[in-house]
Amino acid sequence: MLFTKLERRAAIGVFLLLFALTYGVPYALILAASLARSWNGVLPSGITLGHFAGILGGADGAALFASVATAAMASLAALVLGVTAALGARDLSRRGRAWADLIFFATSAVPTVSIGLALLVAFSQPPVLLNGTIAIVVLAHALIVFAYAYGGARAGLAQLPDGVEAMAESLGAGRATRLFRVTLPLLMGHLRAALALAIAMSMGELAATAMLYPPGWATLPLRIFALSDRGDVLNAAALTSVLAAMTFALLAALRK
Amino acid sequence: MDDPQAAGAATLAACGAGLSGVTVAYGSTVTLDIPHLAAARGEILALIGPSGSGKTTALRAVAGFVRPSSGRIFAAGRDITDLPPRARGIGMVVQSYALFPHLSVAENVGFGLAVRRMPGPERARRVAECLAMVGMADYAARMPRALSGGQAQRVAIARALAIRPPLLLLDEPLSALDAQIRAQMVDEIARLHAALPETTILYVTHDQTEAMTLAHRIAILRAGRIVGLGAPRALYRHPPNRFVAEFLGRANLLAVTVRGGAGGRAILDCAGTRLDVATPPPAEDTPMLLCLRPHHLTPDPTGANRLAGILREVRWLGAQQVLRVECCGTLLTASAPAAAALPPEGSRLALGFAPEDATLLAGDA
Repeated sequence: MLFTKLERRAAIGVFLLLFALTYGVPYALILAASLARSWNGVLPSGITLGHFAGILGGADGAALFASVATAAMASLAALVLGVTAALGARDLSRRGRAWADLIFFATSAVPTVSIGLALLVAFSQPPVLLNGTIAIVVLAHALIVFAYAYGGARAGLAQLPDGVEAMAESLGAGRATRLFRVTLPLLMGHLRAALALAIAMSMGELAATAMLYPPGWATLPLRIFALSDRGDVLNAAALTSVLAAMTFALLAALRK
Repeated sequence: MDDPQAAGAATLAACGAGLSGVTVAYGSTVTLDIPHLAAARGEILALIGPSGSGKTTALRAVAGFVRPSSGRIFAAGRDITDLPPRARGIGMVVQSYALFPHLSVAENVGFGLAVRRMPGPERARRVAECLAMVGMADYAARMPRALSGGQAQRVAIARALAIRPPLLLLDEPLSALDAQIRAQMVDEIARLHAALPETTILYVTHDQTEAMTLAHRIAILRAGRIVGLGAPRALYRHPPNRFVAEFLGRANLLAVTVRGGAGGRAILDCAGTRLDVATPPPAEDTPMLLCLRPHHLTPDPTGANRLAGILREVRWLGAQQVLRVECCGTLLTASAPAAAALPPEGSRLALGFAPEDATLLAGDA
């Protein structure tokens, strides 16, 4: 036995304490604020669901829709591109793979505001004019989450059971059959995890979106920022709670 | 035909499987160099050799996963060298089973048939037939993770046979199984082949017992080249060189010198002992190696060939005793029946052998 029962309980206790301090307390405060009628002292006073009233319609509802739609489109696009890139990288030499990893993971290392600026500069003039469209927001999010999709696919491909793709081929499967009937089904666990991570990242993205969003496509983080910027903290907290709940629900759905 | 390679290829075209002038090279390193190798239709040809000898490379070249640098590959009378693996119609079974973990046993077995767009009812019938053939009919709905190693390998064999391949490639199919299951599976494969006598099998293994039990012929590879090819019994009894002698079964090798002979008998000298061997005599004074299998050496001989020695060690193995006897400066291994009375270790003991049981090998082989 590596640990005694007492040591194990102590380790779990420390973990729960750290988890509560780093995640639990901030979320509890946000939830408390979102339900508070007012908060002028140390503790909030009064309980109300009024801050959530606008979530099904108006600007808040539109922001929720924009966030979910952007995250879904961008993450799916990133997943398709990431899987394609990972499949391509697999056939490269070791040096080629190292370069592919460097290039494809680079988007996770670049500040998102730089990606926003780069897209703004690139697509504000013909021949490809995307500035002011939803497409440029989706493109920015896809670039930002691309590394997670690529990484997930790469990890999945590296862990494919030995010889199954070759076996499919020897049994007569062409490239497409092999991909859709063997490779992708076996990658599904990794792809679901990558998609969940990509959606979570996209749902919370602010900097690039702020530079690129067209009228009528303000996402939840933008709306939260705008509310808190003008001092409407309780409504901002309500939207934050919705954002967190929505992200959690999507992640839970993808875990199934 | 003037071109010998072309002539070989013409012969190969009629075989179950064949390689003609096949080389596989990675950069300047040649990992496989087979001028000519052919398996007749319905033959089981085992490729054996130590790790890195090229046996799996040869099999992968036939399967289409390794592109030969030169030469032609044939299967069931077709030149398949330029065909992709999917178009070769060859069944393959590998050590790791490579079952599709997300598909049931029946779906695994039916995979090749589904790819060929075989109608559902016919496919179900063929799957059931193949599973019954390997004794796995009751496991059709199971997932591969719920199978033991032996069951998984049976399913892998059924999957390979389902497409009714004229050529079946078995790449160390039993290596991942424990000894008891392995022995059962050897019988199983022999039974399967008896039921499918038209199917040619190339069987790669490092286990010489599997090869000798199953194969009609054995090709022994070393450093990418064939160093021995023949029926198991012939290769075992009369190995063509030292490598084959030592690789295929246990061999005692004694340094001898040819002293003469005639009429298919060679007279040899082994550190002053005169030996008589039933083989055409090489030139006089040629240094050679005399290959003697342990079970051909008997204690207290009465025949002409008598090697005086000292018994160094006796090991009792239940069915027999293994003796280590120092003769002519070499430690020889011999065997004796379990009940044989032997002198104590350190005593003098002579070993003998019949002239027909010895093989002369080139000294530098």
